[in-house]
Amino acid sequence: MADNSPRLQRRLKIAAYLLIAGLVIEVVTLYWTSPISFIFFIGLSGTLVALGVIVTSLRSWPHNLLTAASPSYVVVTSPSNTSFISRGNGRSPKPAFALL
Amino acid sequence: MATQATTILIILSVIVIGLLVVRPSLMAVPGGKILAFIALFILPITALALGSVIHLEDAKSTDFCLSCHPMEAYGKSLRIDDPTYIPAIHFQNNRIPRTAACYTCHTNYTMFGGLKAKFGGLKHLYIYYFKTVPAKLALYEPYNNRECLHCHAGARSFEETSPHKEMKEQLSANEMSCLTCHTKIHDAQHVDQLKLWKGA
Repeated sequence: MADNSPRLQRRLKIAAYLLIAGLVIEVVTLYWTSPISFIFFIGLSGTLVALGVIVTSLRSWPHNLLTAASPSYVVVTSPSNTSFISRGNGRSPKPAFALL
Repeated sequence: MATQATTILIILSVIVIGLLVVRPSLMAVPGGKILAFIALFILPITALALGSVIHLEDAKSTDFCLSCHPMEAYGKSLRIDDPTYIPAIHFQNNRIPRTAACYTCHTNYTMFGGLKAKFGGLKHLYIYYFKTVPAKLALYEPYNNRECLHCHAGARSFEETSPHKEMKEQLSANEMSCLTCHTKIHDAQHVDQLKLWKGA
């Protein structure tokens, strides 16, 4: 979660805005006694909060899964002989897969 | 009380989420990840769960049912000043909770019923907002004796009096409707011509 890459920061912001919008709509529906308020609660507030949680979940996935299109590899042949084969944009400082 | 508590929880969630957006560096400090997890997962999901419970409870309230204009006449019928009207006599004598009067006798209505009833509820909303509500309303299915028997079954005044005693099995099996004899129910069509109780 402490990853500060702009892409992940943006995703966190999107999740936060979705959650805030969903929660604000929920408060409005709680004080509105009408059958339509229940529909707004389920249809709008519930959807926005669920999307926010999903986007947050995506953000907390391992970075390598999100950048699978440009993976980097490490081949470890022995503890003393480690060689890296790097591919892609090289943004990820850690290797995605270790092949032993 | 539950609504206020949930509102406080939601305000707290919004403040913490807003704080994380304004200062993302908070997630890098010790405990920051836990704070983010609570703010972005636990609090919104808890708020949503509590909101669902509150909305479901609220949907049982008499005010909720009467918030739709076509139900107003049915609400009025609870105040008919005539002891032969079954819903009115139950409402006025606290035989049913006044705050949940409709739900007590219509427990399987719209969202509290099966899938078919839930879709029926959505259809009501659609008709209410986009079509014309029929002048005379009717239940989709015949009134189920279960709604009466969940209170009256087992009561001495019901079990030991005639004719209930003789037709107990028929009533339990729903072979004979309670409304066969107790014909005076809401009478929403003529409620404006009837004398109404002015009490609480």
